[in-house]
Amino acid sequence: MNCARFNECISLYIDNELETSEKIKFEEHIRECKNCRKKYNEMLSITKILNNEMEVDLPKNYNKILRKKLEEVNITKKRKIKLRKLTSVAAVFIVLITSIAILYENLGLNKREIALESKNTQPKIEEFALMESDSNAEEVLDDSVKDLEVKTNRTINNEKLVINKTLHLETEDINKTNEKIVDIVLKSNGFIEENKQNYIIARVKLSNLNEVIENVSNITIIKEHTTKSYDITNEYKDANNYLIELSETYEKEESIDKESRIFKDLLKKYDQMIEYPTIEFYLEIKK
Amino acid sequence: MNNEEILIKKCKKGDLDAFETLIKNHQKRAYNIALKMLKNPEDAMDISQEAFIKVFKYIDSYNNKSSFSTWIYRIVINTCLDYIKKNKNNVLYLDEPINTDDGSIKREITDNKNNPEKILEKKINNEDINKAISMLKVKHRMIIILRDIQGFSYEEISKMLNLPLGTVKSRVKRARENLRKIILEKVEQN
Repeated sequence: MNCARFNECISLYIDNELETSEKIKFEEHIRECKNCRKKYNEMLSITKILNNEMEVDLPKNYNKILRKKLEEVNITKKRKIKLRKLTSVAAVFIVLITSIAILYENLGLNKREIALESKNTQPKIEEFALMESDSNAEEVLDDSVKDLEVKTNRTINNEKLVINKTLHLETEDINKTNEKIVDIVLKSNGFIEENKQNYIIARVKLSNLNEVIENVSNITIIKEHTTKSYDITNEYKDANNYLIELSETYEKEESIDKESRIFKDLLKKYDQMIEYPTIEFYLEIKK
Repeated sequence: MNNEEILIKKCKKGDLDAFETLIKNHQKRAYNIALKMLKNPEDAMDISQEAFIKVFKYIDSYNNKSSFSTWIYRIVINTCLDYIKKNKNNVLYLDEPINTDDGSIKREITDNKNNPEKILEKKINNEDINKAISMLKVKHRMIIILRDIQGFSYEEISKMLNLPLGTVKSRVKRARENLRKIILEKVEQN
């Protein structure tokens, strides 16, 4: 073994990491070479000194202070655990959102089907539709972005019903009738969601619902009039309660903000569906 | 499930007493690593505690891949290194011996033999050693602390620093060589 190689091996030898064959050569070289021996001894001494370094004791108040800091962290941690539990409820709402989507396909859950048929007569005034929700509900078609504040004074005492109406109409002039219907809807502060000449989807404000239908009956024949009502009171309550719980977790975390937004939007959607029931108009040529 | 695993499970639920038991055997070591890295007791306390808080905060992400102590020390080391990086402008120089609550430490060198191997030991005291260590580059300082002062094995160090074994070995070698050079210069000065 030469001196250069010896140099490379000193550290490993001290840590007993040299292979046996190299080890023997190394020890041989120690005996032979004065310079290398000196170097080795110096390294060994330094290492021994370091090994014998005494550890310093922990400061006296170390654990007291650490405990305090840990307690602060723990409060935050426990809040997160609580939030995780609440989030499992969120999974339920994902199902709800899809079921609301299905609602529009008339396959929803929790529906109370109330079919009313009226031929050539004025439609019956369905009283259940006359929920005085105007005073409680807010102007939900307002697109202004609201704060992450939950209006906890929102009392949900009355039922939350989503109403879907289907009207089959008979007319001599589809285009004309179509125009008139659009006119009636717009004049009542409603709006048209879709217009395919012989098929119109209109959204009409709940309080004007009967008026609109009455006006329509005056301009054309209503062959069939079906009403479906979906009770989403429980879903609405649950979503609102969940939102309140979220707002009480006052940790400004991204995930919480995101969730709050999702549920605020959900409630907004519910409000929209309640406040603006849907009317489907099917227009047929009178035979 | 062994004792440590039971304690870890409790900690995940926020049990602080369980956590204190869990880290009891590691506290002194962690504090001393920080002390050697950062040189002053206040910083050492802050940083080692910060590391333990991280351990508690992120205990959910401990996935048993490495041993728990390896995981703890990795966090301690990284917390020290982060702190040093942030405070690069504060040059750490030790002019006085380390002061503890009980007063300064002076190592007593047993002078029982007069052979050549002991001569170097006689000439250096604790002050010099610590000064020399503080003059090393950060990564060399860290490895000397872990290997020679704390006595972790190459494997343990490799896991803590997330370095290949070969790199650890060569880094130890280079750190010791540098340390020797610095110490010899000091000895000549004295």
